[in-house]
Amino acid sequence: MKAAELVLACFLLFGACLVWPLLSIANRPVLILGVPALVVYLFAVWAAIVAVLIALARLVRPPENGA
Amino acid sequence: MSGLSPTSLLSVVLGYLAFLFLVASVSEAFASRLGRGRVQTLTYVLAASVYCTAWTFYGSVGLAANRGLEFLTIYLGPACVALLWPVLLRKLVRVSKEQRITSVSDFISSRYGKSASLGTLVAVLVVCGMIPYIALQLKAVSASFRMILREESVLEVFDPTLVVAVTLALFGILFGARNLDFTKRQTGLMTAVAVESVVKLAAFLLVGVYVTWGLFGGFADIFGRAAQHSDWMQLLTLDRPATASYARWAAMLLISMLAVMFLPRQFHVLVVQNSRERDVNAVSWSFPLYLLLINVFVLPIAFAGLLVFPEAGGGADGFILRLPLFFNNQLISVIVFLGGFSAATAMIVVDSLALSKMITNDIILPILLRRRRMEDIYWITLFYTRLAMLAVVALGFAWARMEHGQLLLVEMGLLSFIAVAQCGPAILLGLYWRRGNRKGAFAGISSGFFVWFYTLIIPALGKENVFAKAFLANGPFGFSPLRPTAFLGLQGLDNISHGVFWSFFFNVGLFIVVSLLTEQDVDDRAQAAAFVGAAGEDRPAPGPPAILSASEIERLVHHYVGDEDAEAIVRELFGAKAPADLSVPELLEMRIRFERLLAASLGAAAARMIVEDHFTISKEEAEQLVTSFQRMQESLRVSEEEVKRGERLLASVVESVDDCIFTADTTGRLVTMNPAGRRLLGYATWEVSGLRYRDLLGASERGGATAIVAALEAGRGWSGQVTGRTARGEAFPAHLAMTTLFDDRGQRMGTVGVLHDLTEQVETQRRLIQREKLASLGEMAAGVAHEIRNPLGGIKMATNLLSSAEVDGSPLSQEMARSILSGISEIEGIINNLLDWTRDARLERNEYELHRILDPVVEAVAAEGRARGVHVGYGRLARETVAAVDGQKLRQVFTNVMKNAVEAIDPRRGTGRVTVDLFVEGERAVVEVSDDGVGIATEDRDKIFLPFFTTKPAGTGLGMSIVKKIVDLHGGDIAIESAPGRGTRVRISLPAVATPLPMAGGTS
Repeated sequence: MKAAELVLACFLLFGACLVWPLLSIANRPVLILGVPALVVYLFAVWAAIVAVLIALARLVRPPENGA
Repeated sequence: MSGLSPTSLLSVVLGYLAFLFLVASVSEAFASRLGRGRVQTLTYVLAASVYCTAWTFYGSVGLAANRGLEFLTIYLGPACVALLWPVLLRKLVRVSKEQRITSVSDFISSRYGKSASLGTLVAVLVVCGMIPYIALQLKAVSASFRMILREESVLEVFDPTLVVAVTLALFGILFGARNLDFTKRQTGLMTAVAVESVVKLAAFLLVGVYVTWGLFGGFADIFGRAAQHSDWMQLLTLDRPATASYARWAAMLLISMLAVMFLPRQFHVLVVQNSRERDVNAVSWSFPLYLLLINVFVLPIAFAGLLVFPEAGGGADGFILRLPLFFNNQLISVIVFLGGFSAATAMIVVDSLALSKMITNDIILPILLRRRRMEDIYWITLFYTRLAMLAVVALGFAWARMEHGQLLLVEMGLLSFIAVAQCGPAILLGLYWRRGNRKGAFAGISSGFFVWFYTLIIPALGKENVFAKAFLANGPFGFSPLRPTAFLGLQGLDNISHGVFWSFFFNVGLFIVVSLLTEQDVDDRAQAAAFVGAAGEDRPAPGPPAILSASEIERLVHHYVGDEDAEAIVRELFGAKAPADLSVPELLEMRIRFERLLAASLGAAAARMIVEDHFTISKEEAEQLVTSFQRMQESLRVSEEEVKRGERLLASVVESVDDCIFTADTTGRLVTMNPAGRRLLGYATWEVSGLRYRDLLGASERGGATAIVAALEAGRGWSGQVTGRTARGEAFPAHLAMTTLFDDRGQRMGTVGVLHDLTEQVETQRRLIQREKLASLGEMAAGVAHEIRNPLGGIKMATNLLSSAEVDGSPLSQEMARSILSGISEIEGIINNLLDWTRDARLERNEYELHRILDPVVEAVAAEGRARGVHVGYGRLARETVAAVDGQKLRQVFTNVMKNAVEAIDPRRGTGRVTVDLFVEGERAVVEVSDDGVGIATEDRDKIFLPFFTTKPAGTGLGMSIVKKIVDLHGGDIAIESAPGRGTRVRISLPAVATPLPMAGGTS
């Protein structure tokens, strides 16, 4: 899969996680480990994004053309 | 009570600013070392966090306390869009580098055909959109001042905000606008911003830790306590009117995604100041990480604030500072203050820099350039850039002063976001959709901005105004479907999502529709190819060619680029070559590179205008040049052709002329001779060069050739009559003309001669003379004949008398008289003949059946012939043969011819035959008289028709000449076939008449 396609797929996936249909799943007034569910959900997704980006950075390595 | 005294505050602020200046200066000094490797990447990555401003510091907490989790969208959006950055941001960076893009408006203007007007539109709108944002920062700073000061009284006297603002602007000028090329790495500035990002994050984390674990017992503690307040729990979910919240959530996500890339400071830091493409990968993950970290403690702090200051309400913005202040933690307070101050500083510096670039390049410069060509444009531009920075900050300050709490901080920020986001579609679609064109971008952006203004600004501004309220309630002129807050009846959305939806609906919709419906022009298409296909495969189409001399280019470079850089740039432009060594293609290439260079400082649109102005061959002039060049080529080609044709013509004349044309060198040796000459003289081609022109002359002339030679030596020509000599030695009369040839220096080159054969002329002349002789002879004869007639008449009469019986005459005298009379008859006959011959013959033509003329003649001649034993008779006889003739004269003709025929037969033979044939041949009536007599010798046969020629012992010799004359007068021919001993045939042909007509007039 080309870089562009991969990147686009990730974007759409996480984007979907962050809007209404999926978001509403976590939209509950409960506490997880003392932290509200939605907060946990959002930060978890956020952390996942960072992780995926770190992975992508290694995958989509541009040609090394010196400093 | 903690806090700072005014002096302490002043020293803290000044100290921090001094620190920033120091950082910037040091990093500039060590720019080369800092420009490498990890440090550079780190700087780049941290600088990206200039996204977090005082809004992040104060506004997030405030927003969290008021509207719950919404604040996260401002940071989640960017985190999510960062997923695209490895591809999207990289392309953005690459294209911008290639095209030397300096700002958002520059990007859009450049992408859509280097359109100055589009750039102006975007610049104006972005500047308008950003003023609230800058005001927001200044308000936040001002508020933080207010909070941290122990006494607020001093603030009545003077507002430090303005001073701070101006100072920050100067900071920006000093480190960002020292020269015009914004694409150059602004190391000092970037480093300072990076440091500020660190300060921000550190401060926030510090206060977060302090609040969460210092003031409370951790996350669980805070959230647990908050959970006890049911209405606060609402903040932790998206529970308020569900659709509205989700819609608003999505809308804010969307605009944050666009804002993080296209806010002026973001674009500048992420794209323009990117020095290494692969740094994009690093920023893609580190930036979301930064955002995550800086947001971790927002909620705890918000709830802590709510818990500590339950009556806070709108003052929640200040929680982050109020908490440490309240708990008398001086250090934390100052650190927070500095954090917030740092955030605002970074934003103001970079944003004012970026905005000033847009203002100068896309608003001011196009106006100035249209008016006149400016030679000092570099300094003027730099001046305006700096001025614009100050202006932008001043405007923000003015707005901040004017706006008295009508809008929440956050609302102001969101308005700016939405305004800037309007550029998003044009940029993103411009990067991936080739069909996107200038008109589409115009339509999209202007409609987006208009809707933004209509649905968001007007309602915000019109809260106090009665008239505006009516407008808001009922729509324009009471037309409610166009109400700003419920456009086209779309209800149930909060103002943000409503505004975002409609503005993007029109923006993207019109962009796509108009792009599809209109055509792109050349520039548009070229730029589209350059931007969209800029994965390295497509080269941008070269601009219209124009050539400037190398020295001109050098001069221009010095004009438009500061002197310090000019040398380096000239060197870069010319490569390693001296200006004189540049070839024409390289000079052409120069134009493109020069334009790009200028674009880095002045923006693509202005650069295009300048280059087109200086590389002054306008399209019309170029066309003219091309046309006149083509015409020149044509006429040169024509002249060449004419010359060639002339040569060919000359050659063919010489070849085909009938006279002998030859050339000889200075020694007299022949060089060339034309074919006619070779034919005339009988030489072969290879023999010619061995001849001298003397050889062409007859022996007698050789001596006379000295005259020729003398003339030629003297450089004159010579012409005259000579005797020519053929190869076989035959002489012929000729005319020779010779001239000397000179080269362009006046030296003798050789001679050219024309030898004209005079033989025919001579012959003709001779014949002419002879004819004249004959003519005069004839005249004389006629005259004589006339004279003789008279005395002859007398003699005749006398003789008649003598012969009559009345006179005493002996038979002898009578016989004598008879003899005299017969002699007289003969003389008469001769005289008549002679007179006939000299007389102008006139014919009396009538149509006869020819045999009627022939019959009596045949009879008469037959009688004579019988005496000799010659049979005279018809052979073929076509009685119907008719001709229009003079009967009398023709009878004479036939008589003459037949008599000759009879007389041709030797009487000693005793036999003979004369045959007369009459028949029609084609359109001729033919009479043939054949005899088997002695025949005529060949040499005599041609002379027969000559007057006075005869082979008979008696006779005038005029007979046949008269016959020929008469036949000629009738338009007929006479021909003789004869050979000695074989007889003679005389053939007379006359024009026949087709059908025999009744006799018109009788025979005579």
